[in-house]
Amino acid sequence: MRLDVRAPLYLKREDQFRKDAESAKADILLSALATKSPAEVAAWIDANVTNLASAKQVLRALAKVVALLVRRL
Amino acid sequence: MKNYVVFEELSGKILRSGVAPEEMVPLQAGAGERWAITPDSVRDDTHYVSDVKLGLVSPRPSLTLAPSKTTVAADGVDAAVIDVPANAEVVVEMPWNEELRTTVATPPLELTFDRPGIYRVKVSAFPYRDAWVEIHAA
Repeated sequence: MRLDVRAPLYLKREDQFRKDAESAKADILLSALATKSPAEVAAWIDANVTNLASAKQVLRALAKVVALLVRRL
Repeated sequence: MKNYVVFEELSGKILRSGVAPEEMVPLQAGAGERWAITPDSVRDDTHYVSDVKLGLVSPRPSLTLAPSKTTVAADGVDAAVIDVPANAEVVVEMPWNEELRTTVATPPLELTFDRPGIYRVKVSAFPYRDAWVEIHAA
């Protein structure tokens, strides 16, 4: 007789959330921004977001965080 | 005062035990139950009435579980196979504090898991003593 022990959906979602959160924490851009003050972040943006490519890079990183936060609403 | 057990008439499973004056012992058993006087105090998890006619109490035999493997991949496919007696009651204790209960109508028992963790499997198959085995899903 086969017994398939399956984790409930809420746990699978939690596992995925943790995995995605770890991925976000490992993002070089986000980890660099995480320790900065608001003023330092603003300065960093002014200095580093200079064209569409760099803006998209920041947006991608921010979108990761927003996606995680939305799941916690 | 006498040690006594009250047991299921058909299976010999001890339902309760205690100490009472000898003349009061028969009063301890209800419908469908039988009683026996025992030389020592016995517990239902370690003993049973092996001869219900004579009221002979014996130790419950141990059940040895030998899973095909104790570590499996948590992929929902890799299975640990455990030979258990037919109609054994199985309880799987999950790492997230839930339990899954089933009766194994057709042994052996094949277990698969889709989340990493340590799963504790309890097998109850009277008159055997309850047995446990841990399966690690990685």
